[in-house]
Amino acid sequence: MIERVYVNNFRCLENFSIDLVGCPSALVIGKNGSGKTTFRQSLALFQSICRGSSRVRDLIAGSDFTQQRKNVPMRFEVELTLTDRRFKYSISFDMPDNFREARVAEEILSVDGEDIFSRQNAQVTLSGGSMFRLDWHVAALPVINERPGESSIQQLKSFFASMILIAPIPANMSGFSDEESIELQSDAGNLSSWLNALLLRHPSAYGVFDSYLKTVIPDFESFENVPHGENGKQLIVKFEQKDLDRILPIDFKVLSDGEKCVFLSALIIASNNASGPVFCMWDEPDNHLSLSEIGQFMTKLRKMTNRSGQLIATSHHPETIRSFSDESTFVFTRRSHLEPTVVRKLVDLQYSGDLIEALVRDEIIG
Amino acid sequence: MSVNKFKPHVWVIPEDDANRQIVGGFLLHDTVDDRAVGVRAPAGGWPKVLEIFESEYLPLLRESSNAHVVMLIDFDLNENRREHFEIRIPEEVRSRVFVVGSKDEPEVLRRELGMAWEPIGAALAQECHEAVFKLWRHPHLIHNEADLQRMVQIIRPILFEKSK
Repeated sequence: MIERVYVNNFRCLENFSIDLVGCPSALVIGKNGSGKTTFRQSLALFQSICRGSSRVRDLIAGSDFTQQRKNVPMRFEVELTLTDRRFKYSISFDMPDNFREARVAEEILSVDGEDIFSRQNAQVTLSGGSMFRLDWHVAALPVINERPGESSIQQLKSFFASMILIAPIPANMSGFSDEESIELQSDAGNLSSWLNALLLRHPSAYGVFDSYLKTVIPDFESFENVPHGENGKQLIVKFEQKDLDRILPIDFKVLSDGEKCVFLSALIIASNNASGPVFCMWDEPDNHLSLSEIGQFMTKLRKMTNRSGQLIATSHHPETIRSFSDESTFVFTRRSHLEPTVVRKLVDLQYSGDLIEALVRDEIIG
Repeated sequence: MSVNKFKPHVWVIPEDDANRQIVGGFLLHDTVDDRAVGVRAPAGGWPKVLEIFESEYLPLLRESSNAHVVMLIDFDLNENRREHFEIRIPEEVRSRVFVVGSKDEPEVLRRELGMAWEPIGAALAQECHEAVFKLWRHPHLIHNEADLQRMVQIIRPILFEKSK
């Protein structure tokens, strides 16, 4: 579980810290431009590093330094606990005047308080004291491997790489796949490839997936991957017409946007149950859902984290906001584009009467 | 994924945000069938709860025997509050309508328990699951005993189908 994230000098996030201890599921609310998406993008930096984008220019651009302050280090820190081991990873970047791209200034990984490696610019020091030099335009975490018998670095890399950081675009979710992928894209466009990889690695996920979908879509019967083109497969969803004793196959790409999101949530829940704790940050999960469905959709996603996993949602929707308590809701505010994002828990803010009415009146996030 | 109205289901009308958050924690309990419950927006005071009950939910109760209503209110230390509700609940739906809440305000209960809203809801759900009612008989909740007994008979099988 991610317990704390600290970001400095990255777009609107200056000296930004969010404490997620005791928050298996949380909601982030705030006006447009308050930094919700930037927070997700800061998590995506850890994800990108562990998905193989070790080159700094693929991670950040010069324009990402807050108000072009390239002489101030841009820093990302994350603290998390995985199977009772406490990890802390931080990386900072700077961009001297004559540089065309930013470089790594510092990078440290520690487990249970002991440094696995630390780094100052090009100089990397391993836990045993051995040192080597590395191109300062490349992050060290992806290239460092541990001694035989140890698995902490690999555990952290797998966690970051498999984080689900999404703002789904149902139109991009076609159901076509020509590969398996354990990395879900931010628009969930490769949902079908992700589904194939999940079922290949963890066949037991099908049971969870099937039972969830049958609960929420009563006429869902099953799905099938039908060969399509030279090496591809197309996801076909089968619906059962019980009264006519008939099965109706429907191409996944023609399902409604809301149905695709239900499918996606079923997969996330199945993945959490079958393949281990999932960290999911979902930007506006209520998009595309009908009013009567949002409350239960959110409750099911939140329930996923009762035993393991972590969910962070962002939303402007009253039904979603009402699905979280004030204690599990974070409020992002920003007075202007020249000022940074401020994070507070909703429970620490005063408002009178109904929460949604108070939000409409700008009492809380104004 | 909306409430399945073809099966027995429960509509909850919370008086305010505090009660809404307690219900939210209750629904998060693993054993609760969240598809059997619909929670409406906080009414904004107990008279509004009653008004909403009569205008929106009474027709639903009359229309379907699957429908049940739980009004979640603050009793504000007022012993006559329950009576205000009971005289407005028509006889033909009385067995499917319940009025529960804190003796004073939920904030007092929260302070005494030293718990956040959702954990209070989850603890109440856990007791329903186990059919052991300790928190439900806290001094701030004990006045609900008669409705609790009816809920154990009628609501518990709807929400906790798989419990003992």
